Amino acid sequence: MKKAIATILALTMSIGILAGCSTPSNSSSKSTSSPTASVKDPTQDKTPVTLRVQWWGGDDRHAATLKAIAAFQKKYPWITIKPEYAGWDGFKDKVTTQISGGTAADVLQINYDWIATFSKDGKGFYDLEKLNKIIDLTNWDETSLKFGRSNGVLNAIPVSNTGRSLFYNKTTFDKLGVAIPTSWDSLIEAGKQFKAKDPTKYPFDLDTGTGFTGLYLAVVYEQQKTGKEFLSQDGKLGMSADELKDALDFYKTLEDNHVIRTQKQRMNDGGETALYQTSKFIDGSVAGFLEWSSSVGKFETVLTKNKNKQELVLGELPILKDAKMNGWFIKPSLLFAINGKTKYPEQSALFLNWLLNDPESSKLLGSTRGIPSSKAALAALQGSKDLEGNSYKATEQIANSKPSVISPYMENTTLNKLYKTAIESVSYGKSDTTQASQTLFDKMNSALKDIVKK
Amino acid sequence: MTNATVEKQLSPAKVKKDHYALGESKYLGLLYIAPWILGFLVFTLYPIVASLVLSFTDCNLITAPGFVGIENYTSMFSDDTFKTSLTVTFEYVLLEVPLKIIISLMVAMILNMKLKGINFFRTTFYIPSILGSNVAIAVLWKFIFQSDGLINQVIGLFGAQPVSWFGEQFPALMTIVLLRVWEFGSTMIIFLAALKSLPQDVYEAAAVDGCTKVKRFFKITIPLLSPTIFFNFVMQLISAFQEFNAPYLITKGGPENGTYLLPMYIYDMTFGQYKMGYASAMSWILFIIIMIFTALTFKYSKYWVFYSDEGQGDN
Repeated sequence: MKKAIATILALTMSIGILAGCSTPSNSSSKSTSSPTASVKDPTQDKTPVTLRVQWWGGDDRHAATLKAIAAFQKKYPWITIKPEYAGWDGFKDKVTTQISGGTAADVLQINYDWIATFSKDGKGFYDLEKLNKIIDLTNWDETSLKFGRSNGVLNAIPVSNTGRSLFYNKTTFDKLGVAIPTSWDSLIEAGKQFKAKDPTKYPFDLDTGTGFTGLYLAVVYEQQKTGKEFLSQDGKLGMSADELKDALDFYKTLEDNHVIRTQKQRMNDGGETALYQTSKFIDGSVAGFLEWSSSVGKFETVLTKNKNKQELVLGELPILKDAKMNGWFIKPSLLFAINGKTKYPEQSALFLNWLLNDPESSKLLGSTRGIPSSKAALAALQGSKDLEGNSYKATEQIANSKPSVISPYMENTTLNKLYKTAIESVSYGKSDTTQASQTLFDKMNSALKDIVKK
Repeated sequence: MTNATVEKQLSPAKVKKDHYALGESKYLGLLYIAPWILGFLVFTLYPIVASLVLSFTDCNLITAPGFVGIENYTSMFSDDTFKTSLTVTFEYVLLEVPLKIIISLMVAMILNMKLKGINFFRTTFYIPSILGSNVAIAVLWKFIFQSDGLINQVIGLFGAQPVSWFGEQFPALMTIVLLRVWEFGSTMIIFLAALKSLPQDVYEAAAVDGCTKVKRFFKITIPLLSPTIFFNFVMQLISAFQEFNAPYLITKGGPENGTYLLPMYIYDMTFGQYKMGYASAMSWILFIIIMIFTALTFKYSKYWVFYSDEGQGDN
């Protein structure tokens, strides 16, 4: 009897060990299953299917997407969509774990630089061109689609283009009688006027939480001044330590002239909370910010849903009088990809096509993911309020200036930490701009060597 | 004289049975804990061994790992962020552990008194530790420590200057320390149980000799409680070194890496910079550090921990 029990135990334990021994599956292992000669038509095959769809965003995007999903499920009732959504903070960490563990969703919203990380060889995500009978790829021109390619393979579809623009709380500016800034000088002037009229209020803010925003404005300024690209497409730092010092000096000028709060004060006021969720933004004390046109909606909703309704306006892009280049940035705001190991590529493609191209979906989604570059979606939005709002205006504004495409390495986590350190050390006074810029220069170069060679 | 021979002499009738009826098997115990053993092997032992192996590779979560020897360990010496992180972790442990023990003990002493409705207070004081490493609590902490948040408002009522909680390193560290100290419940309950089981005759003898309350506390209560203090100290030390939730959720390691505790750095290294090999190496260094401190605590415990039934205190 005891022998039998001992054997059972031994067997159970060994199965346990073997089960735990499997190595994390590589995303480069056969991702696209043997391509069937003909792709099944998902509108005909009515076997019940559950798809997991994942995205990040603010509340406005969540609400709109959930409505669009409900409409899809009405049309295709045998496909159940399980939505998985959250804010941006920590999203990439979660997806990294999921992808390396093989538990990622079927349809994923991904960021521009994730293709370089997760699919260097192009096999990390499903080849969308294999599904072109279901997804109408003619809605995008190649200049858009190329952002979603890796090694020539179409890994993802860019939903819209975006860049950071300056937005202002017009209500606060009017109350203080200050003009909305239109240039670098008038921005600094606004800081001085705010300080004189009501020092508890600030005309602008740079949210260092995400790392790059803090440095973004200074980099744009420096690019205009020098005509040199901060970071090239293939990951080379294009500015010298001196030029970085000049950029950090400009950042310091913004702090010194009461244009933005010092880092210490920002931390004090709202800690690590995102700007649009802090009380200082909601009550209008911080009256301006730098944000992607594709996600300005979350700021707008906060201000307009308030009891004291406040007005948000788009400011002009400051350009130096003798600027050597436009300096402002554009990037694909976000892309949608299909999990390379999904069990239901056709149904996923059906959903994706519907989400991005269907007129009903486009109207429901509006500008919550920016102004869509899909021709079908854009056509559906003609005449709607979305093509009048701040998101649309900002997208047009960036597209019409002569922006540079952001390097896919710009938002790399390691580099983000370096940008944040540089800004913080200058703001807290730990180092002067010469030291901080030299450190930034050296550390960026060594980090890039590491990142790019991967 | 072995136990076996003694047993044989005392009870010759007891024959070693080869067969047991079902329910009496020697291995029944093992069967009962088999689920735990399985869980331990899969969720604890396997990851521990795996992380040791990974610490000698350049695993990056995406491509297959390659062996790099002790490179991960040696590069720690030139990693400034690692040194900062380690320093900050030590500062945190130095602040949090003594504070938690002292406050738990104080509250346990108060709750030991025979007051009306004392049970209500015991429950209330225990509630924070049930809420535990709750994300919601951490988010709440973020809001009450803002410059115009609840804490500063209360401080203002007493006429003091508002504190820049998240703007400076020490106050930011204190917000994390306070979060964990606020969860003193389980430590306190252990002290309370120990206090209740203290022998009363010692106190009576001291009272007869005219012992003051203060002397009584330091010369009787503390030594009698020393095994419990020792236990709580070791447990708190081990968990304090592994603090992750609080800095991750509340301060994100800021300001200027002032609250960038090592577990958080390890996490960032894995999921932010995809250097799981290096992160695994750091985890093992953290493990060794915790081991050293625990070992030191055990070694020096003989100088201040008195076990009443083993007479270990007379050297």
